[in-house]
Amino acid sequence: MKILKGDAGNVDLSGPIKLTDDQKKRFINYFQERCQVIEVEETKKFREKRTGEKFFTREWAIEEDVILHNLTLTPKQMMEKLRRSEMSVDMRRSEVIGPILVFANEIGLEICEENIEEIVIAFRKKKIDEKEERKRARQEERNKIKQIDIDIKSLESLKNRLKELSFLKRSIPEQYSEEEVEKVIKEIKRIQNLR
Amino acid sequence: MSGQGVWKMKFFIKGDLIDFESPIPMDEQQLTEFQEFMNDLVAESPKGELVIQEVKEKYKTYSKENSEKGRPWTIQELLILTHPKTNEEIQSEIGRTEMSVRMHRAKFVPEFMSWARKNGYSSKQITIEIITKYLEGSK
Repeated sequence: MKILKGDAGNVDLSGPIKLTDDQKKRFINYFQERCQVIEVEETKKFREKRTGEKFFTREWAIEEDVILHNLTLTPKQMMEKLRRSEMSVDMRRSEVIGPILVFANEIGLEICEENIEEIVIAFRKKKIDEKEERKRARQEERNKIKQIDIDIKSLESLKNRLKELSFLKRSIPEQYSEEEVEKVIKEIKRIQNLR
Repeated sequence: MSGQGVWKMKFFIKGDLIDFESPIPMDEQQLTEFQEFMNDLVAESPKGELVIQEVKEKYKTYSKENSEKGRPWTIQELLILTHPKTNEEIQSEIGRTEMSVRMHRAKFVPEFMSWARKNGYSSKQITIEIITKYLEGSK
């Protein structure tokens, strides 16, 4: 097992590590005792790039955004508390300060030490909901397109079936079904109406 | 990783494999502790052996000075930064770039709000006089 030690103080695994269920639990617990906010997610594919191969950014947890807006902390204290660089703190602040001011005004709250946590949590929740909604809309759009592709492919075979039925009517009437013809025509019309 | 901070760690798992979402910041002591922990963990497996490899990281250069270059900010502009308006609205109102608005807002607003609060001013009643007082105090 290889651990990569970056010269800027970032530590990485050289790749995913194989652990038993018990080891996995201990591994996660080890970090849970040290950093408070832990998330475990099932994945289909692990990242290929490791420290040294690219510049990494970490997602901001809601709890981190609350600290970021803690009006009593100095920038240095904030960087230490969040274990993030000055650039990371500045960039994140630049991303969220404006939208949070607007949001606080929308919900009628004044930004101050007593309610900053409430505002940040509500703001992030709104953003998460919006993201979920966008994701759902994208998925719906993709499903529609997929269905259109399927329908277009089936259009050809429906037309062929119609020709076959016409042939059957003339040559093997006992295999001909008026009901099927109607069904095929109805389906063709439905697909043509999608255009 | 001292337990005093609030920061997020995410793991990805797939079957019996586990991985960090991204590299983890650790100082020397934290790395030593982690190494000890990992040594114990891998010692349980017959082929277990832990290797530490030093690598040169990729950096993004960041200069606070560069991000603050440009024409000085007037008190009127600073006042606008505290208003509940989007960065885009402020950008067109004062004729600066969006990046400039974002960066200066991030620098000015939290510190100013903190000071205003301590001095009993509501964030909804900020005036040029209050900002002037703040700037004089921070000189």
